[in-house]
Amino acid sequence: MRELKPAVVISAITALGFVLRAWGLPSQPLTSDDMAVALSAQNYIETGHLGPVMWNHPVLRNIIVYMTLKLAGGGVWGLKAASLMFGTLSIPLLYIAGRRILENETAALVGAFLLCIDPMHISFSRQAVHEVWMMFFILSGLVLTLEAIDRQRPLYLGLAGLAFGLGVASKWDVAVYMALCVIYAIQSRKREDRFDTESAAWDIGALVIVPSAVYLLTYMPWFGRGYGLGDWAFLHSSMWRATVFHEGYNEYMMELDHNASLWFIKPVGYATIAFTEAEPVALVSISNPLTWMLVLPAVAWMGIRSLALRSTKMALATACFVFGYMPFAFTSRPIWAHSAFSILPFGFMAVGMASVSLKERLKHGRWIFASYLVLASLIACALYMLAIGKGMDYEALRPLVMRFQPMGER
Amino acid sequence: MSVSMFMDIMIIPHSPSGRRTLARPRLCYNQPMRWGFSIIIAACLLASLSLAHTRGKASRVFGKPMPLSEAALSAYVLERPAEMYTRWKDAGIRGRVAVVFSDRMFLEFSAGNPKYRRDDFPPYEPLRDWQEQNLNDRNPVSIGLRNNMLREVWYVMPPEKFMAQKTAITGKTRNPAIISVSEDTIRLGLRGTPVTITTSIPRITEAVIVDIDSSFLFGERPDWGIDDLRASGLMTDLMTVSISNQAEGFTAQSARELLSMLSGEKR
Repeated sequence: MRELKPAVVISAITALGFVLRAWGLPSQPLTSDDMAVALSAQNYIETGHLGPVMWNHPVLRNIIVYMTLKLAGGGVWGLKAASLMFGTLSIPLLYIAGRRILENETAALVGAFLLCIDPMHISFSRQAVHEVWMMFFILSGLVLTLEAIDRQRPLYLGLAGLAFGLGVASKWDVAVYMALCVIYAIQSRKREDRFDTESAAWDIGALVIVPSAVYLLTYMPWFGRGYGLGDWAFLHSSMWRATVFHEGYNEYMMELDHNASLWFIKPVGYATIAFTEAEPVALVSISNPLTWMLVLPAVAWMGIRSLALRSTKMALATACFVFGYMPFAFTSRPIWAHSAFSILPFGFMAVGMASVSLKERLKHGRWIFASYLVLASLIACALYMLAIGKGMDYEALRPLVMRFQPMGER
Repeated sequence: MSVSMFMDIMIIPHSPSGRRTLARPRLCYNQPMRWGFSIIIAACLLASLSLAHTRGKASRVFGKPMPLSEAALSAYVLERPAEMYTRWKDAGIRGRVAVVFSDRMFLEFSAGNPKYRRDDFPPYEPLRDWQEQNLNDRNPVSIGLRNNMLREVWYVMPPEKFMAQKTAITGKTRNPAIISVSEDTIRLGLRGTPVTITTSIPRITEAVIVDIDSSFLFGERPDWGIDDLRASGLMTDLMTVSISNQAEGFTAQSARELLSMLSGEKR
């Protein structure tokens, strides 16, 4: 029973996460991005062409959304099932990863709970765009890598490679986490005197070659247009340029927070406008300041603890955050807040660890800890209404929604 | 992942001190199986590379290739540029490289999208049909690309027209479509589709689709290009001459004369 209790808690948190993400979804108006995702999926499967939305990113979303649309016979559930599923399942995965890395049940549960109630993550789990997918694939790959290394199960490393392959086929930034897992796998073997060339070759094969093959196979509809591998290289140079030069799909995007270095310094927001027959509905997602703004000190704390405890897993989580964040933080092109989802699980893990650590060290720590969770939940409740497009229904929230009105319409 | 594997990961045995204890290894890396996995992985990569490449090449549909001078005898004269798409469709070509001799690009992208059908699958009408409904004299190359008759386009332009295009394309700051620019060639990637604009006839070994637009031959330099075309070495299975400047006096008869010159029947 002692082992089951956390499983019950995480099941409850996951169920809550699903309800928050699925509640009222059929009545939420579709945004132009939602419809463009459906068009892109159909366009890719029928013709092998990329776009119209996010053509410069890899193509897995087109394949999966087309499949879910087909399974559901079209409609909202078909369009958003993958985001809903990956968004919800990231919660227990964050717990599993946190538990392995931090070796602390409560900290892992807190991390998962913070993700469960995160308004920005909820908002994007309710949209067809695939911003929450990468977190799912990164966590899956990470958990399977840890399992493979800890228990000497090479097959799990192959599955980790599959997860990373699907992740990279969603967005390229997943390759950073994949590379860190390769380094971790080889280092672990060296540390435990289990290193030999063949095993290292297997690690690299499973975590580099498998993802490469998966990534390549997702381009089969594109190859069907008559292209060869040389053209594929050209396509990627074209995609790379479009990604590097990307400045949003409309002028309004530049009015939203787009500086990644501020993600964890101040509350940041993103809004998507859905145009309905009645009046426009704004899906406004704002980061929860009580969770996001603790991320940087908590990650620093996790980094220090990893050195003090000589914990390579904590070091891996810290490295995932740092190396995942750096390309965003130091780039000159605009990066919107939803790109933080790839590093957010490591941030929330760290916040979980720091809050549990403080709970145990401070006088009245339990009260402070409980108060923190209650306060974070209350703020999340208010931000949740904004995230699902109900902000204008509440007098107190209207000013927040109005702040996201396009400049030209104020 | 199976349920048992998932539960295996979820319920990790812990010692009373809270530190996780490692389970006894079930499948050691030093077993011969690792070799089996390695071979399977390497084979998968090679197979996927091979599959991708051959799928692409196998998707291309060709007719009987011949030199331009020979192809001129069976070339189609088109009253409107939009008809080149119809000819390509009738010929059943797919996944081809086109070389278009013209001072214009016929590459206008269809504005807007088809109507979204919220609860239907597929959520949009077939996109090929929708593209064809939007066919006009400004976009046959664009629709040909969109409907996969073409996979790559080369435009050969008179030098003065090339310079005008170069100014228009490179004038835009941070244009991500530009892959490279040189004195006489601009290489573009339009959503990954290779489009090259140049002043000289490209050397392409595979058989290409050729369209010669009247704007190229009977624009500012009426004699420009005939000898170059004959000496180009290009092979084609489908050649068209389209009349985009009929108002300037270029007629179907002029086009036929042009083809006679190209075939060598008339000097």
